[in-house]
Amino acid sequence: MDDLVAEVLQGSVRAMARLITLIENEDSRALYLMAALYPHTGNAYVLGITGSPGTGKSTLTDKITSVLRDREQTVGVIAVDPSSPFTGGALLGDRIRMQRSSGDAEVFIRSMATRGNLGGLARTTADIVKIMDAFGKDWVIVETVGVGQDEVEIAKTADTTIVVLAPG
Amino acid sequence: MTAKKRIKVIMAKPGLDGHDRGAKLLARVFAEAGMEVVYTGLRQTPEMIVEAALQEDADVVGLSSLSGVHNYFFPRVVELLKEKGLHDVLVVGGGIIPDEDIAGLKKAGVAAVFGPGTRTDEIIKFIKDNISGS
Repeated sequence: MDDLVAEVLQGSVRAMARLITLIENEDSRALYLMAALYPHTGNAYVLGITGSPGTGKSTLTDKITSVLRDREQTVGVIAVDPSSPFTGGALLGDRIRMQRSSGDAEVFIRSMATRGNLGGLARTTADIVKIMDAFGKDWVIVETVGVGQDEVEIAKTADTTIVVLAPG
Repeated sequence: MTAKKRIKVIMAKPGLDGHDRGAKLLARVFAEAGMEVVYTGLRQTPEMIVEAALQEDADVVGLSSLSGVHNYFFPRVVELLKEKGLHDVLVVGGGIIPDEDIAGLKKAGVAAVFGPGTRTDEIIKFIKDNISGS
């Protein structure tokens, strides 16, 4: 398990993807793993993107990512979508609108389902931000679920929160 | 709904084929079966599909092709997955695949090919029975 943390710190994308899965599943070793990573966090700028469904959060995430890449910054993206309260399954469609970034190996995009958590994020989203931060991403962009009126949990995690609204 | 391993599926349309009704239908069917499904959208290169599988730590990659390019794209995805060390990802395919091509695709590492009219519960069962670590 220490190997996994070491590999993440050395820049293994595969290790980061697997570690995210462990944390997402709230594995019994999660706390221990996060403790090992924590000293390496605090360097990434965390940008939250929230707003109503269909206003363009994913599209904006893709565009901002592309501007950051032009400035030679590395980017991690966490795209959160809701889980079905009936089946527990989820359709994660944010990648469709992130085509420009998805061909770029320096951009790590991870789709997450809320798994029953309210507030626009999954319960473990903040930990996944820390993993991408420790990995060495300069920026971590968190795109929330399409939200209504009071899902503002992202503001606690992000350094800057952008609220995307439809005109009119 | 809480802490539990969920099957993660990447649904992808490799190549220039724009027919994604089947892929979208199956994405929903898999979600309703309790899986977490990432749909990548149309016109994906094998590199994009494999990068998505890597980043998402996918258990399954589902490939759909209705334009006759399966003999190139499906084996290429399997090959790239192996290059990236993703040996335990289950690759399944569907769409318009002539019967005579199926043996070759299976030999190339595609675990199963589901054509039109396949019962969706059969596909779900195949995935649940064949993913590693479950």
